[in-house]
Amino acid sequence: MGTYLLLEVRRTLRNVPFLLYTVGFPVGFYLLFTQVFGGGQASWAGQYMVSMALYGAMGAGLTGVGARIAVERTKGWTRTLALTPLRPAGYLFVKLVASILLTLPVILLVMLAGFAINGVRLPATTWLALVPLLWLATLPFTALGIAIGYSVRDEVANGVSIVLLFVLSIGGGLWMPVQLFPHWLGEVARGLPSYRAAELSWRVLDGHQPFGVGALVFAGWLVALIAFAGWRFRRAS
Amino acid sequence: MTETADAVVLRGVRKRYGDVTAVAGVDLTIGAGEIVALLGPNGAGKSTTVDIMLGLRAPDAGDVRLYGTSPRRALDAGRVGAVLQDGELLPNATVGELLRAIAALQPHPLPLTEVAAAAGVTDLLRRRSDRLSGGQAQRVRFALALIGDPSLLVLDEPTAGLDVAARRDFWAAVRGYTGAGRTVLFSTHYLEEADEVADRVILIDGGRVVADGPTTAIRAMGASRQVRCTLPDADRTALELLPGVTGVEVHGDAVVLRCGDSDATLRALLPAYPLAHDIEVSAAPLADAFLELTGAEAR
Repeated sequence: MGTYLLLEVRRTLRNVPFLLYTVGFPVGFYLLFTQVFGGGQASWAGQYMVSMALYGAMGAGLTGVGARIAVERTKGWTRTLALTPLRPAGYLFVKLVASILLTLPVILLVMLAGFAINGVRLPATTWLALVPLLWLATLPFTALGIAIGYSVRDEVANGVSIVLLFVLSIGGGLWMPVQLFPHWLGEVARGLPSYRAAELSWRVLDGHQPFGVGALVFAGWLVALIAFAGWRFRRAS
Repeated sequence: MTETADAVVLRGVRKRYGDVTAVAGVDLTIGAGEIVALLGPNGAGKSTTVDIMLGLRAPDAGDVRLYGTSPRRALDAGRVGAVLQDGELLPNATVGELLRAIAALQPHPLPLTEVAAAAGVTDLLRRRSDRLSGGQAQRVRFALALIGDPSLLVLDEPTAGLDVAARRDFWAAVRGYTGAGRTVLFSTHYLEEADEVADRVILIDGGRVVADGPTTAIRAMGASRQVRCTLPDADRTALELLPGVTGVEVHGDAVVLRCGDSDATLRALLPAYPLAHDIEVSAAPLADAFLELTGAEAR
């Protein structure tokens, strides 16, 4: 399974449009919004760094995993794999591990841009805490990607995951703070997994421990989406 | 002969999709070392039968055994390799990487260089899997099926959509594999492939086995011979009245007589049509037997 996992990672690194889209966009938007529109406030640069890192990692999880599983199912590659001793669960495991490995560079690059270009300065412990927190924050969206990948055909999967990525990232206040939303929209945003996922890291930036009441909402979404993905996976295999 | 020695045993296999019966009770046994063609028109149930045989679909009824065990166990033991229809290769990988990744999943893989040579993909190992011609991609699929060193190879319409040269190369690769007592089952609707490659033909139509026997015997079940000749201004109706003739095709000056008794036909043909020349007598192609046995219309 290790050789297959390695292949999976190499294939992704070779897919230039995908890399540009998952890594280039969040770094680019981060710099655009902070350098051009941000006015150079340090707190904004830090908060937005976390938001864009999560947006990028969400994209890698949602569109990376979801669309690819759908493509490989539609085009029949999974049938070829079904003839080997690799089980559907093993295949899913490979996809999941590859996705988790690939979200890491997205998170690290946005952070690097924050540190090197925007001059974000945080205590070392905060930097170290942000990486696993952002990683954890990505999981519900990877689960959602898996559910999409096992539910619809390839051309539909790509569209659905991109729409969900933007609805969730904009709606969850990753592009502009929820405080700027109209009141009713702010209430909606606070119910979304994307807001609650980013909140874990935002709280750390503000000097709190990550798991407040909002973490319960996040955990609820995480469990629900993993269950949803598991159900779609079992239905399909 | 014990049943466990047989490569494939299907008993009473049935499969319906809604109102459509795809497989209506198939029984077949394929012994180790046989090269068998599963022949039938489109929609005859070939692919569904193959999928059920490989455990990719569950039958509604019936039993499948590969080497006396379930398809899943036979696959896990690396005893079965297959080239399926619509099995696109994984993009953004090289051919060599794909082969190595699949080999790593198999319990007793063959050396990569050996498989690459056998399948004729040695020159393609560094090529990207998404930049291959149809024939090249199909040979790579064949290499992927071989890499686990299977004793049974199942090929589902492996040459559909390939041109003549690519088909010839593909079958040359398959023949290279069949030497060592391995079993090959392939489905096709190219009759000449069944004729040239297989020792035995299983004819499927309407989800049932309609004929099963050595290729020569199946061929003999239809019109037994054909007489071809060149005859200017041939009159088809008159030719049909010749003794022993069961069917006549006229294409310009070229005439094909399908005969039950080609000797009687020839004796009558030569005096009646002195202009007939380039005369050839041959066994009727499998196509004729195929059409008769499946009840399809010749024209």
